Amino acid sequence: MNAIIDKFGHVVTASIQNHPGRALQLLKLGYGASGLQAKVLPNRQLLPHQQYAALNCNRAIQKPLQEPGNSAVVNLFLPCELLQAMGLAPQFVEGLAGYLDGACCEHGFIEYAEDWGIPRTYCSYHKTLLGAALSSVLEKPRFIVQTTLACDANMNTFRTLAEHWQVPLFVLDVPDVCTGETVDYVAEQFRRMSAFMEDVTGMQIDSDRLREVIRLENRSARLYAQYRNQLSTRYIPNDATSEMNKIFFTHVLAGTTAAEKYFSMMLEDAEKAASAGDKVRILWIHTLPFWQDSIREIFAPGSKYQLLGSDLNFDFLDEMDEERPFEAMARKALRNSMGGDMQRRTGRAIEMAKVLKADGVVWFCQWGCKQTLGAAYLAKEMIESAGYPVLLLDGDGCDRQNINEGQMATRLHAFLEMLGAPK
Amino acid sequence: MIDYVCRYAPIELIAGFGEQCRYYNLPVEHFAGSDRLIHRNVCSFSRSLLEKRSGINVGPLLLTDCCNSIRRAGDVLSAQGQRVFMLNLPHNDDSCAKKLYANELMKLMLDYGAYSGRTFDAGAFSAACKNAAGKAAGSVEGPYIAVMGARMSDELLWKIQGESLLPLRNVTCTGLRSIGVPPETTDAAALLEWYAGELLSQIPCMRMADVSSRRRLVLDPNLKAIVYNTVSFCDFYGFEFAGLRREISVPILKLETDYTPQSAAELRTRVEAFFESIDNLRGIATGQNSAGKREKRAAGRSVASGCRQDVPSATASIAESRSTDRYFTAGIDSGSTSTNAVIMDSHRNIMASATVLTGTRVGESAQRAFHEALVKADLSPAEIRHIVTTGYGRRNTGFAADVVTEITCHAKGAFFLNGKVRTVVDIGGQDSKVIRLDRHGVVKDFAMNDKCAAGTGRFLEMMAQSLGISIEEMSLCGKTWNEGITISSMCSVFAQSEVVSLIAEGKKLEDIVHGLDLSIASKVIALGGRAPLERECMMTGGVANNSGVVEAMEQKLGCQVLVPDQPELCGALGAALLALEAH
Repeated sequence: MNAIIDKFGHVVTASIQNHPGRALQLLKLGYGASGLQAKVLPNRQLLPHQQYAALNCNRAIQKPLQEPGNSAVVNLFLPCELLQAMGLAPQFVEGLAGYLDGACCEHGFIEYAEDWGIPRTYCSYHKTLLGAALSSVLEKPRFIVQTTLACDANMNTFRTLAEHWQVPLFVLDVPDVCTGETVDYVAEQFRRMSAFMEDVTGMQIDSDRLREVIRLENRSARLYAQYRNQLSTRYIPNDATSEMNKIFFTHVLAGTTAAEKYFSMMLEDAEKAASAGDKVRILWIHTLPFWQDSIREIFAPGSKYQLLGSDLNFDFLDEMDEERPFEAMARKALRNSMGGDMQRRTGRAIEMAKVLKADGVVWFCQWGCKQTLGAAYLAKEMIESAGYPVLLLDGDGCDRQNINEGQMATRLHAFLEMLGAPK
Repeated sequence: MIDYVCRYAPIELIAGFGEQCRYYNLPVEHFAGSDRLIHRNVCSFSRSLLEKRSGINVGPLLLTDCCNSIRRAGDVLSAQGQRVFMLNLPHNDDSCAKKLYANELMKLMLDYGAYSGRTFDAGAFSAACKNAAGKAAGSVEGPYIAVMGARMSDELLWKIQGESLLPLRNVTCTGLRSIGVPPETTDAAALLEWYAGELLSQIPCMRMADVSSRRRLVLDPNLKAIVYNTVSFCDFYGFEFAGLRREISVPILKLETDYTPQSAAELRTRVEAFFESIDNLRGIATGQNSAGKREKRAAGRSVASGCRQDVPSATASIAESRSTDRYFTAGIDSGSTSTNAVIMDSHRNIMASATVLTGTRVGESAQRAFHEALVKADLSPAEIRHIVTTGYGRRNTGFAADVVTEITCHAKGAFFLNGKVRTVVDIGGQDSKVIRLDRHGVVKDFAMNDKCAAGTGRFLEMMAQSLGISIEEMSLCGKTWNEGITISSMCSVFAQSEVVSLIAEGKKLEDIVHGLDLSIASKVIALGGRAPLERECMMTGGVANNSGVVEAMEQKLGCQVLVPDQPELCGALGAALLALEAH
């Protein structure tokens, strides 16, 4: 299977430069086939909620590819309630780049982006999306909406995309602290964003539908909180791909019925799970290179190591006020644990390590992510002071050719062996 | 005294407390200290800030959260107990953002008052604003060269100014500060609202949401060239550069700097070569008509074309040269590995050449190469009318000579050898260059490798060492390859370990060497960017003697690559030709 996907990736890559339309058709066919496989022949090694995620994430990626005019390109941390209320499909950087990774063609897009002039030191997820767009493989969406939250790359990427595609761009400026003034500031921008979207699409946002989206999101949040309680004492197998799929439901699909069903199934699976036993429990920081053999093997079902989750899936855990949706979305953005000083993100990591009874923390130093890289050394000190050993693991969750697999595997294995050693 | 680093910092507000602000922009020798505090893949300026300030007793620091790297550097310094005033800088510049920033300034006012025990004096604040308003940011009269992009150390700015024939205008992210005259009021809230508006209304840096007004920086008719700086691991300005190089006709050179003096020689070469390549710059600087100058040069070339030679080794007879009223010039190329000298006569005949190892004493090796060439040409030093030196050691040869970069010299030499050459690929011991020429042989554009051995002669030396073969053996054995091997590591050090792994896997030597040849070819071709390398393409520099690399280049380019008989002499040849022109 891997050889087939590898070959597929080569064929797509070979078409990028001169036949972008063909590359897109191939990708659509490939994702269609993998979607069908997820539906008809799901991976039985996965738990039901993970199988459900594999199918629905595939759909979430395919929909904007099939109907670009009914989609918006967004960044991961954009609260997407307005898009969901309007029935528009969000396409986000990490999701699409991850899927292109899955198709083994990410490096072709990265090379295209670098040749175009994108700095080599830039985040590989963003380079992949930029390469896909600038090469004309990816068709233009209806519009782009981004936040300034957490990630410097957003500003560069989305500005470049908007200029390239000639589509409207809305920038939602999210300050680093949550105060009365900043809530008003961001809420006002959400109102403007709502008007912007209505203006661009000619559609109206139904306020009842928006409240319904938030209500669904709150129900999901409660299910997710119950799941975390279960997780604190149980062994719930979790592989790297499933953890990355979870990001769809905790972010761009939040407030959908699909997300509510996902969290509901997740809780059911958790309630059926065995007790934690002697598994070594790992909290992961940032994205996971799910395609990397060494990572896949470590967290494969039946392994003695348990992946508790990525902090990207714990960045906002509160419930929202459905009666004041704009202020609620503003608070969601402002309270996101990825924003602000590093104490906020590290504090959330420590809180989760405590709640989930982690044995250790892997701080994944993603290539190009200055926010994560800059905090790494200080965060290690803080998390270790709280009693959790930390491994700083340099890597690239997106670019296969930007890693040293052997070196990464050695470091990660040594750390896990250290955690698993008899105390 | 309070240090600040960003032009959105409210330094006039601090002046309102009777305290002075100091613009912090210092280079560092290394990052040994900061590497213990922060990951090395964050912006180099942030690392330099930590390198200088961490662990010592210094005054407070005024930062804005202008980027993730500075934000984190501030986190690290705060954790060390340093007083860091971190301001939330909006990305927008509309009325809501200005109101928000005014609140932030008010908060700073309260925090700083509590910290310093001083009271705010609106009069002092207004005076500081008026003082700032009197200094028009970076204004220059008449034609100028802009230094644009990301911040740059003052030292480097002075060096560029030293090389430039025209005045320099600093429009980097820190060089565009502008504040207007404040309203006549003593109401602090009203003043801060006005002040927040002034700060956010400056020509934006690339971190801001709306950067459309930056266009005016490149539309000024007095702008004659741009030196565009990017700071290592700061990605904001790479994007602007990528757009500008497509859109504007003004010559533009990209630098990547890291706030250390490393690669100072390489940077200097780039800047010098850039200024050399702008044909009419001297004319503008001296008020002369550059068009006339260009015609004169073109005429010279057409006369010279009748006696072009295919290879430098095709030298004229010494007896012939003696029999006429000729004079002689020399070109000396002091490279990192070898030093080459070429002597020419005034009819553009190559009289002699010599190559010696550079070693540790640049002056001595240059003298040795020069004297060996003189002996071969049967000439005395006094008979050489003019000398041009080039290469990394060009300023330290000890000769009273003109100094020209190897980029211009290789272009000159290659075009002399074949007038159809439009691309020169020069791979030397420690760097590689792709030089594009116009139909007159004038440098249109060039790219140089960054401070990384990949794609250089040094890379091949390291790999030969790992494989236990000589460079000469390496040159040949890759030609008999069977299995295609990809060396994926970009870094020479990792490539070395990749080669060791391939040896351990039992891969054949020929196949590994072929993989390395392709790797070096890919790296060098990538330097040329997206546009295909225009034919004819000539390889110069010592690595062009490696036929395996040449074949790999041809394989990658899909066309024949010209290689002169002694490609390592091309720079010295160009220097000798320039010496003739100067004479």
